[in-house]
This record gives sequence, structure tokens and C-alpha cells, in this order.
Amino acid sequence: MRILLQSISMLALLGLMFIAALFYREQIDLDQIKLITLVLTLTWFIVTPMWMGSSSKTTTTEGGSS
Amino acid sequence: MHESIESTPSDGEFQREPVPSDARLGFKNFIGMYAGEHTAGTELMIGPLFVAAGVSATDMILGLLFGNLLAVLSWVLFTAPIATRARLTLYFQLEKICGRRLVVLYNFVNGVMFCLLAASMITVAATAVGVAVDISMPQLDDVYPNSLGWVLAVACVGMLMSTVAAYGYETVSKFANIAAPWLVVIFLVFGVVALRQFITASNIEVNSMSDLWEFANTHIWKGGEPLEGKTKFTFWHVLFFAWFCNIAMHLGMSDLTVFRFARKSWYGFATASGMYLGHFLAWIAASLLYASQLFADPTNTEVLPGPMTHKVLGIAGVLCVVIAGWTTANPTIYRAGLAFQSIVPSASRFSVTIFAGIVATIAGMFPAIAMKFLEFIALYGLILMPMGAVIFADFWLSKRFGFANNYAFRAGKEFNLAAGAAWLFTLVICVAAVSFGGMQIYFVSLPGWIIAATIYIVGSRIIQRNATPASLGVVTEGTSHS
Repeated sequence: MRILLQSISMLALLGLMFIAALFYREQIDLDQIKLITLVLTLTWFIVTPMWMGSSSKTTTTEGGSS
Repeated sequence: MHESIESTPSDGEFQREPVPSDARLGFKNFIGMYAGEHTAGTELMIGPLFVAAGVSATDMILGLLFGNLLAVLSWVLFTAPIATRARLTLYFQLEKICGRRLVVLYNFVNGVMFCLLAASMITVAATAVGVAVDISMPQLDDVYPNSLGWVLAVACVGMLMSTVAAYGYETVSKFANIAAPWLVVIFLVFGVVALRQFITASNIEVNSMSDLWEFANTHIWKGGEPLEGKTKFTFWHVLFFAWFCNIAMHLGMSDLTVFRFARKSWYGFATASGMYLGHFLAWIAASLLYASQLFADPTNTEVLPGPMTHKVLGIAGVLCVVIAGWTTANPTIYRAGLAFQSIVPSASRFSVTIFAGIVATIAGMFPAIAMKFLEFIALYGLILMPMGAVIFADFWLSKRFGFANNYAFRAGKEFNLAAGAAWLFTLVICVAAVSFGGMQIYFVSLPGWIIAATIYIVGSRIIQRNATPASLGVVTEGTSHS
């Protein structure tokens, strides 16, 4: 489950970069990129807290990761 | 801009003792932390102000590349080696060198500067209000609040941020960690979108990197005269600004508190993530927004991140401004509160944070801080930098120049005159050089740092001339860096 959630978060970020590239190549218009950016942003902020919280506590508060 | 050291792992621990080996952290922790902290709301002000300063494309790119490299090397060669040897917080190390009273004074100044920094972040976030509500927004050369609507917008945003910082610091801190990767990507996205819009609007064919470079030279960073009231920026201005915009953290040694957790001093290279994502890509992206706006309407010189990002990315753009401003103002207000609390230890954490928030909110109503952000950041670094020189000289040069390190601690002094003189006289000399000598504020910190170290060394030799090594507890060579 955790890997699935992390994958969705990662896809949301990659998706943001991908649609920026599409816009630069004029494959999508401004209204489309605004809408898709918002959807991917919401996806990131809904899904990421489901896995990042526990991870950050272990790795940054208590330390030890390399 | 690096807003604070709030994300320091276990920051509240080991305040008055060296960080033990089992609490030390790996390289990756520092990469993520610096990447997140240096992609802040204020980047949205800095990028446009470079354009307003009439910088050319070559000066911009080369200046940022080399300036950021020098900043990274400053962390690697100056901050991290001391941090990983002493493993103390900045404040405790300063207390040992300077004495409690001088540290209280330093904390007060630091608290005030944090408030002003938070003010600019509140200003940035408040510009997002202008997207939804029709209020008169500040202009590039405005010093005072220009409308009741603006004052109310800043008051609402500032008090909301301050209250959250006082009540829910931890929650926002966690939210900031979640937002950090998104912020880095969204800066990149609006940079690309703004570039495409700009190219389309200018009706120029850009099919290769050489076309893009030509476009950057002729449309984005055109060089020539700056906008009215702005200083003309050259390669050297960009280089020194990129190098010294975080001087308080590297040569000023604030990040001793961060790198005391690093296993190795070379972890200082992790700061490159913040420099080249935040202070290179994000500044360039923000520059593109403003250059595009100026191209569409040369009379529209407003630097308003809210409307600018809304134009290219809609609601997601506004979210970027609010989140970038909020997540960076939150720890800055909190840190300002901590600095003030060290002066009045009996005050509660809540009350000092609210106090700092009120100061920041009132200051945020004055657009001068945000609109003259490049100058403010240079001043911020200048004021805090001399104490970093004092720490450097005390740590590395005390033996060579024949004086005892950690003098206040050894002699039981509350105020180390040599350190106080180094701070005061350096500031007087630097301010005089800027005010009367015609030197620009961007260039004064480097000689200022050397002057501060020199005054401290000479001052230490003078005040310690009658002290015997035994009276200062200097018994063996091994105690030199204790």
C-alpha cells in the first residue's frame, strides 16, 4: 500500500513536469494546463501525507539514515 | 532565500552539549532540507527584481552559477568544518566566546531581522489576496501602504500565520516537508509555462538552444538601464548577491546549528540542492514571470507574485504563492519568537511568537521591505555576518595569534569586549563605506568579514594581555578547541 501511495505521489510530480513539457511544445492549451496542474497538485497533497509523515519522523527526527 | 533553521533535525535537543554520535545524520537529510528551505516564497520576489535591475542574460546565468558555487563552498569550507568539530549550536558557541549579555543582544538583532524577513513573506502571500479581491496593490517603488484594502489583506494573512505559528508550529512544519518537493516542481512548471507564453506572445521562433539563448538576451534579461529607482546589476552584483544572500547562514555561522548533526563536514555540499534548485532555477522561473509581464505591458512594473503566478497556472499558481509564503513565514516567525524569548525567558512561547507575528505583520504592510528585498537581504547578511567572523577567528586562529579561545567561558565574562568591538566597529565601517564611501551594499560584506576577524584578533590580544594561561584554563594544546 505504501509503495502504491509513493508511486502516486511520484507520478503526480512527474505528471506536472510532463504537462509543462507538453505545454511548451504547444500540445495542450493554457486552460488545460491550469486544470491538470490543479488536479495533480491536489493529488500530491492528498496522497503524500498518507506516507510521508511516518517516513520523515524516522529519517529526519531520529536520524540515522544515510 | 534561506528563511530559518527550523527543519533542523532534533533542533530542540542538545542545546548546550555537543551532538552525540548516535544522533548524527546522513547526507540525504541535508539535501532534502536545503532544497526545501531555499525554494521559498521570497524567491518569487528576487527573480523579478533581477529583471527590474536591468541584468543581462550572461551576467544573470554566470553570476548565479558562480555565486551559488561560492555560497556552497562557504558552507563546505567555513561552516561545516567548525560545526562537525564543535557540534554546538550557534548560540551556545557564541555564548562561550562572547558571553551571555552579548548573545542576548545578538538574539535581539536576530529576532528583529527574522521579523522583517517574515514580513516580506507575509507580503508575498498577501499578494495572492489581490487575485480574489479587487484591492489596490503596492507598486514597485511604494514604501508605505497604499490602500486600506492592502493593509487589511496583510493584517488577515499575517495574523493567521502568526496564530498558526504560535499554536500549530509542528503541524505547519510537517506540512512544509510535504509541500517542499511540490514547490520545487511547481516553480519549474510555471517557469516553463511562462517561457512558452512569452515566446508565443513575442511571435519569435525558438527551435534550438541557441534560439533560446538569443531570446533570453533580447527579451528576458536584456541588460541596459534598470527600472526607475533600482540599482543596475552587473555580473558582480549577481555573483555577490547569490553568494551573500545567505551569508548569515554560512560565513555568519547560523548553520552551525544545522551541521552539528552532520557526520562529515563535506555534507556541506548538500547546500548545492538549495542553491541550484532554489537560487538558480526558482529565481530564473520567477524572472520569466516578470519579464513576460513587462513585455505584455511595459508600464506594469508591479512585482506581485499572486497575480503573476495566477496568470500562468491559475489556482495552482495562487496555491504556490500562499504555500511558499506560509511554510517559510511560519518557522521564521517562530524563530523570531525564540530569539525574543531568550531575552525574556519568563515569557511564554505563545506570547513571544504572537509578538513576533504582530511585528512582522505590521512591517509587512510596508511594501518597501519586499520591493527592496535585494537591498534588505544584503543588509540582513551584513548585520549578522561579523559574529561568524568572530567564531571563525576564535576557532581556527586563536592559537596562532596567541590568545585563548572561548574567552567568556574561560574567564567567566558576561560580555567579551573584543567580540562586541568586532561587531560594532565592523558595522560602523561598513555602513560608512556604503553611506559616505560610495560602496554598494552588495559588496561590503566580504571586506567586512575580514575586518571583523581582524578586530576580534587584535581586541582579544589586547584584553587578554594580562591574563595568564592558567587563569584562563589553557593548560594543554588539547584544550584549544574545547
